[in-house]
Amino acid sequence: MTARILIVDDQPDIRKLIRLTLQHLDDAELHEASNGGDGWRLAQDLKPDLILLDVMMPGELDGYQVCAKVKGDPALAGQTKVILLTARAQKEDEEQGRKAGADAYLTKAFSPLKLLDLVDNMLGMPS
Amino acid sequence: MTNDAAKPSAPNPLLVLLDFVASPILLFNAEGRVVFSNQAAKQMSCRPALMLGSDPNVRGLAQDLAAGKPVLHLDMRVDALSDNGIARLQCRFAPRPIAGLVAMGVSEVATDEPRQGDDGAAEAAQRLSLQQIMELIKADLMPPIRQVLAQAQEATAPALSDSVQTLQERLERLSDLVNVFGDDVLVGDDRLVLPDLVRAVAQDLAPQLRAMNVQFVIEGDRVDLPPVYGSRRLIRRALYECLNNAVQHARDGAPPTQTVAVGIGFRAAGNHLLLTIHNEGVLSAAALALHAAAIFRPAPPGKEPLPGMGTMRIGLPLTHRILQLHGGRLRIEDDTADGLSVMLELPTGAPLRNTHQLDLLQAQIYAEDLSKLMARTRKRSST
Repeated sequence: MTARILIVDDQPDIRKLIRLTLQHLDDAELHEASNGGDGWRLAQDLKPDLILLDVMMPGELDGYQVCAKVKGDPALAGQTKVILLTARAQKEDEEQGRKAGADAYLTKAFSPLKLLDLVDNMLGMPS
Repeated sequence: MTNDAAKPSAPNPLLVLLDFVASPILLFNAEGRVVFSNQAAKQMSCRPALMLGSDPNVRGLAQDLAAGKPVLHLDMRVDALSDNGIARLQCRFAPRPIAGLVAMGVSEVATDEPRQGDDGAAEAAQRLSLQQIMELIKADLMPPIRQVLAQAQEATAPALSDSVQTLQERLERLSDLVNVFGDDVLVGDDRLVLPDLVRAVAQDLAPQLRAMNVQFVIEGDRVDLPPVYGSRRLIRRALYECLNNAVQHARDGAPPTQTVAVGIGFRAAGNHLLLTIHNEGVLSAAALALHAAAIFRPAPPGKEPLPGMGTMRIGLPLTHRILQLHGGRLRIEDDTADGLSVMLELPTGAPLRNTHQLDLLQAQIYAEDLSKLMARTRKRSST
């Protein structure tokens, strides 16, 4: 079964890197958004299995807010997993992510192997 | 002292003559107070008689000149709030008093209010020179230092403690001032929920609020307000300066027994968050007109601020600069019917980042793991 994955990050290079990494998954459909507002709208339309979500983005919604909206939406909360991507690795940041309902937290700069393992794990796929 | 108080019963030929001079001119008495401003000075939007008459450096120099003391400089630059933003005034004293009065010529050399399409020039104009910063520092620091010295001489310990605390707060403020006007300012990327910061500042101001019988009324504090990213310390400083000054002027014209309110409103507008501070009242229309520009103005002469409550002489450029560093701006809207509103506008979300270094690191890690990644893919394909 094809896994639907949404990548939300304001940095095109990071989106590209994630896309290159996730191409190594057996069967995945990848979508992208460059800011929180577009990410949230796309999440509502696509109902993805997984969102890779940058925390610090310019605009109306940051990653924590998008995550809280996803986890607060009955149509998404049960099926959509969220991995927060951030350059900040302090405890209070992780705590903020947990409060927003994130399923996992990945610190930039990340290893593609670690990302792949985490995505596999979230989607229930074998690594 | 006003012009009227100094006007003689018969027209003084000197004053009549000065009124015909096209350049703005002020006259100071021996106490350093403005006793006359000619028509040209009265027409300036920054009201130099009020702004310069309350500046301790200007007054001190006028006193020295009136007393015949030698002075090093007759020129000085002073920043004053005008209807169009900050007016930079070039002031030049006459070297000798005339009939006991010291004359000063005033000219406006620049204004630092940002203009549309001229952001670079506006930013350059907003930067204060080191000398101006030093003058601001001296003007801000000297009153509490004198207070400490006077109280130390009387050995009244509790009052001395309050004064030292005031001094400490001023020093912290100066530290922020120097930091934000430095060449290499680090803004930071703290995630800031503005209503939470406002509540923290309100907590800091609780003693002043109680002492002055003033309350904050907060509106629009919704959970889904977007965060802003930047320096927690600096944004908190900007909020403190604005709220502190609003409290300081909240009672202007109000009956002494009545509680007055300072309204604080939050509003998301596109990719910006607006915070509005407004003195809610109980002011009559006449009092409003009189005090319309009270916020961000120095306290009137003779009105000493409460301990810990500095004037906005430093606060205004400091707040301007902090918001500018965060990609935001400060607006002051003067509606005679509703009074004065101070608006802080900040972009929401993270600033556009210069992440070149991170990208390099990320690329390096990716390259290191690439072979393992390929091997894993081959293994998957074969099974």
